[in-house]
Amino acid sequence: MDDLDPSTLDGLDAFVDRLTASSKDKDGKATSSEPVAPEKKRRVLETIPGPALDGNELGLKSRQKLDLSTLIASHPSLSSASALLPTKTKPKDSYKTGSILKQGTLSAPLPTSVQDRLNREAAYEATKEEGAKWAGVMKRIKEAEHLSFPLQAEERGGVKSSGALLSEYKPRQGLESAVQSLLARANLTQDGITKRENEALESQELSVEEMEERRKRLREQRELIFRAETRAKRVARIKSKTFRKLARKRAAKAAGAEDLDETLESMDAEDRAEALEKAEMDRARERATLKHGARTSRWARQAGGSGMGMTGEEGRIAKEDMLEMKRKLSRRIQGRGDDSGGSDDSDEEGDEDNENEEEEEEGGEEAIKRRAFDQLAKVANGSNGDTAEASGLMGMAFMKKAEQRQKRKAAEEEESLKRDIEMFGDLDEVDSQGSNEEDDGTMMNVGGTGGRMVFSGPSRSSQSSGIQKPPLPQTSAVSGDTSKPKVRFESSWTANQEDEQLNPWLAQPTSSIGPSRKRQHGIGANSSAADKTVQSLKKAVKGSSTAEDDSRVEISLNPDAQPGQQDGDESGGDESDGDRMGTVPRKRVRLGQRDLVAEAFAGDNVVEDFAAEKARTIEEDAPKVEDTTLPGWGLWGGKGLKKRKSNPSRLVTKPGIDPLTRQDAKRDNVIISEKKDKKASKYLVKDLPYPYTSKAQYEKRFENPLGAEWNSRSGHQRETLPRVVRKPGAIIEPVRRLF
Amino acid sequence: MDALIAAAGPLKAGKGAPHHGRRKPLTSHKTVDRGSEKESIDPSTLSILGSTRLPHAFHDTPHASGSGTSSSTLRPDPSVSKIKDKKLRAKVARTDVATQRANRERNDVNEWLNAPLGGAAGGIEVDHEAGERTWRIGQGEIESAVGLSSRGKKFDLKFDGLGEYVVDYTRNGRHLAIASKLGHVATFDWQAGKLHSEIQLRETVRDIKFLQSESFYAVAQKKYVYIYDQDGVELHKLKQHIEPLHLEFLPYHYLLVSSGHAGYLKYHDVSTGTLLTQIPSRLGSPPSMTQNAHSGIIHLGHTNGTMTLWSPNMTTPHVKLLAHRGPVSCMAVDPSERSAGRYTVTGGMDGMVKLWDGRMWGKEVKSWHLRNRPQTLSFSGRGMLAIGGKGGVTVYNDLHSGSSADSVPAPYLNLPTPSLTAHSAKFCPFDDILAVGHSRGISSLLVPGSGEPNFDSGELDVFESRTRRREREVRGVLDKIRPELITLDTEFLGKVGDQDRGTYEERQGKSYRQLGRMERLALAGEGGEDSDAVAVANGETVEGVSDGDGNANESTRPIKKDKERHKARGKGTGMKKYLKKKRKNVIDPALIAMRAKVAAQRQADEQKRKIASGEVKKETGALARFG
Repeated sequence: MDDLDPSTLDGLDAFVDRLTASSKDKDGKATSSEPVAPEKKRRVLETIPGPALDGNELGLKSRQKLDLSTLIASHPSLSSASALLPTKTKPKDSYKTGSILKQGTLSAPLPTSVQDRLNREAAYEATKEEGAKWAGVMKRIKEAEHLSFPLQAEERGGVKSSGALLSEYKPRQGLESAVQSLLARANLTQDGITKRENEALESQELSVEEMEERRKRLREQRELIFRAETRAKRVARIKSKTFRKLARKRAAKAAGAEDLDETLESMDAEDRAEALEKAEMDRARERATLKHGARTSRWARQAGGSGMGMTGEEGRIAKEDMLEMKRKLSRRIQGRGDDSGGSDDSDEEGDEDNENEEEEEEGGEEAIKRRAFDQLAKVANGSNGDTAEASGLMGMAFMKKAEQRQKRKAAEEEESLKRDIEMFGDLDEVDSQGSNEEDDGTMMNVGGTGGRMVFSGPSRSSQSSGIQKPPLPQTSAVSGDTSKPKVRFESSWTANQEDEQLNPWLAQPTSSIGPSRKRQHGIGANSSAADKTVQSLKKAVKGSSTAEDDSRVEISLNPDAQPGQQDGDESGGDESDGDRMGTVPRKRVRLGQRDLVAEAFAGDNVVEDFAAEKARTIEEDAPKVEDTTLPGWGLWGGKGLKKRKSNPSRLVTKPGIDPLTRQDAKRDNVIISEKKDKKASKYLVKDLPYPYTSKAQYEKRFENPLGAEWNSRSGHQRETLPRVVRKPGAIIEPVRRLF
Repeated sequence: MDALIAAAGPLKAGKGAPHHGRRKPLTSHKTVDRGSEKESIDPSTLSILGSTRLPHAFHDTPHASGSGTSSSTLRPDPSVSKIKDKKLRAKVARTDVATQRANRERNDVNEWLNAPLGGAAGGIEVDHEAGERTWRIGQGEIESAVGLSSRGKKFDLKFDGLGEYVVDYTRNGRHLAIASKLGHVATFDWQAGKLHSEIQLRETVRDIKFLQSESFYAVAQKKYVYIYDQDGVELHKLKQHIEPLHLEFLPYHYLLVSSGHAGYLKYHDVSTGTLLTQIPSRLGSPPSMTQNAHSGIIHLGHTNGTMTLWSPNMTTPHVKLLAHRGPVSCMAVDPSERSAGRYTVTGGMDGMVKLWDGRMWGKEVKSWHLRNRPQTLSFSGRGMLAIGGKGGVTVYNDLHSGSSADSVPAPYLNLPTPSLTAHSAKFCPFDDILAVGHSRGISSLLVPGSGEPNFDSGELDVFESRTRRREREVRGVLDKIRPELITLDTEFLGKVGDQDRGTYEERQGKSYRQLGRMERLALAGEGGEDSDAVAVANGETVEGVSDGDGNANESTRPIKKDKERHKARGKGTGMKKYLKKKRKNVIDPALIAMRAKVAAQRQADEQKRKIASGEVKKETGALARFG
């Protein structure tokens, strides 16, 4: 504002002075002139002479043609409008020809129908144009999702905002335009001010862009510094695996976990017990992680194979670690750290671990055997000593007889059991001999040098060289899957074998969890003690790793299996332990829960019945072809006549459900009814409702529930809002067209 | 204007009317100019804009969480654009968008309002790493950990020498009914400790069930079913139900269902007192019965190991499933929100427990073996499963956790009842309580996290007053659902039924007027825009020129494939046909070779054409061989 021209300001002042003076003058004049021209109450229309047929004023002059412009010009109020009319350019030739009469004949007017059509067309065009002006409004209303009446807001005489006033402002009177021009001359318009500000900005040393640039550069540098710092921090945190391992070890050492072996000696009894307990816990943990059979456990298989993301080398190392750990722990638990110290050297090699295990088992076997005999003796004593006079039911003759019979049976069983146990010992001896003598024959390396060793069972020759076994009433067969050696005990109750074969129970896959072993002992109806002994013996011989779960005991379905063939099968990859167990002659094998239940339901052909019912249902529902030929009609009768093919037009196909398209097509244990629910179908829509052209469109309408319970509040309100709402009390007027 | 309209009169469109130059399109009256870059507007349309759109409150506004986005992200399914009719298209598109939006909002509400405050679903949490397990936690430990009000909910009612007890809760979980084998029946408000009725019936009682509220209950006695009121006054003897074994009540249909020794399934409408229907199951005395609360379907377990699903509409079972080898001793249907009546658990005398999916009967989702064979099963509102048998009840929390069907789910809680067999176990609705009936009374045990914490008081009110109950009962009878609507498919209502198409002659004999809308649409070749939608969804484009027959209804008019037009020989059409036939996204060496061949051929043709037209001059002479 400093650089405003002072002269222009002076001019403005002078103008304002003049303004005040003139307004005063005006006021004075206005007051004086008011009574002079009083307002008229009634308007008197001027009389306008109309066109008269006979009058000379506007009568047709002989040479002059009447046209629109003259008509309009005749009315004083429209006189100025005549200028707006397009000037008529008369065709010159027609002008030259002058009168129509001179031309001769008039052209015939168009036929009325044609004329009318032309008129209609013109009118139609005009109407359409007029109607099109409403098109936008009507389209909007038709397509609207929601209408709230009244549609158009009433015109309100509200106060306009200053901005609206300014933008609309245009000088209309002389005074206003004068002020406007003065302001413009003083460069006080909006444009001028912004221009000056821009110039001021430009005159500064640093431009806006430069400032911007500088700030950007600074920010960039700060960002870079920050990033470098964070990266440095992260890098400092990264340590190698080895570092971590060492750190862990150091920490463990700090916690005082020295080697237990040394410390055990120096401890007193209490601490020692505690330490032993801890070691046992370790062992349990190891067990829990499945790292305990070097060869057969799942972990070992995974470690050996490509599973667990281990390479072969890693797997081997892991196995070695595990074996080492196992050896140490077991020795500690048994509390004889030095006992097997002699064989330490051989123990170091992982491959020979199994032999050690076997040795240990053999060591324990004597004790087990002894225990078994003790138990037997106890049973025998019990039965002998229990000769007190029985009273009541037990004192009756037939009961006594039965008891005696039972005792006899038990005694027999005991005998056989003893025989079995004797034989175990013998077989063991044979086996140990065999393994000593024919090591080459029974052991072989698999997979080249240094691979795992596979011990096959004693060969048939060595077996036959041993003590002649009594002929085996049962046979055992090994399933084809050699990787999972399973021993099957054949039931001595061969009477039911056919039934069992048919029984669905046996076809069922064995589940991973069978009934508890405890229960199974109790199941044997007679001589549970004897059974227990057999069980404990078996357990001892086989070791915990090969202990048979009841669920894995399967009854062979093939009673005619040849012993020789079975032996050959077994020598494929079974352990000698398993082999021995399988061929042990036994008179009675305990029955599992499964077998009992199988027997209980032996007569029920539930599955067969169900399959038959399903087949029947499928057939009922399937499409059928019926021959409607009346027998005998149109046919010859008598002997030796060939049966003619029935007339295809007489074959009626009844629609049905194809067995392959049934809902239960691929599942054997379910029948899903394909019948039509007639009672419910009366609530279905009979035909497709109007606007929809497919079922899916219609059914999609119901996909979304509208209730308040299943929607958000706003969602429910939106979906249930009526299409048309009306403001109460409002007058609904037709839509006005705005221009 | 009026004169113009009057003059316009009838006019034949098209035929006689000559067009004066180019016809102007019907445009709106855009008179207000807004500069060069903006479109000019029609002031009349502008004036009604505000009143022809949804009120401002319903416009999408992004949430503070950023989850809600503007509706511009919601687009109708692309298949909608296949619909020819403009109005219908707009309608279907609007529906589609509304559905999408509703789903999104529902998710938002569930996430922000209905999710539990702590983030977890409730229940016991243990340090799994440290070897702690939930099933090691006993009732005493739970009792000491919970608040005083919850502690009072664990109680035992001892009745010696009265036989095994059956329990039942009302639907809001407020009232408990117990019935012993030897005829001791009692109902009470177990939370307030208020006894409603206690009667000695002096005859065998096999089951007890509350009807629509605590004011009536039905008892399956030695010979018949009896109905008693809240005070234990005998109201009705239902003589049609002979030797009943099990009772169920369908609350929305007001149907009392019983199954008896003779194997009959009987539906009795308790609002009118009439026997609706009796259906012979023809499978003997059923060892178990349960209902699917979601659909009202009754499940029966039979001695031959099958489970059958019944509705009063059909005399044959909807589904017959061979579930077990041995009698099906107990069943339960998961009522939780996640399951929505899909999952059923059956327990058999063979000691197996199997989990079935109602969308795929015949293939168990999970099955495992129990040491003690299951005697009773119950699902809680949150989908926990209680399996009762000899020695107590085991509760499983997440049945669907393991991947394989054979993996045994880890138990959530062990609730031992020493030297007793759990004869009947029921979870209390809307509370973390499991009531177990055994031969020495009943035990109410705490199972944290089992009950559904959010109840809809308009539907089932835990704190229901007397007036509320009366109101609900009257409304319930007014809103009674017809028994015909019990169907296996819960989405059944509102669908378009399959029409009986009749024989060929019948169809031919119909005039156009007699045809249904679907048939007419099929005739016009307009029906079934779904087929197009399916094609779009599969990523295939409809080949050839569409002649309007392409989208005929499949059932009546199978889509005719456009025949390949056979051109003259020697045009290499074989190769093109081959390429066309091959799916474009399957690439194999043969296809690549063929494409290369075609490209080479095309290039050669192009070269020839250019030479012929003179664009390229063909090299001649000795150097031509070098190209």
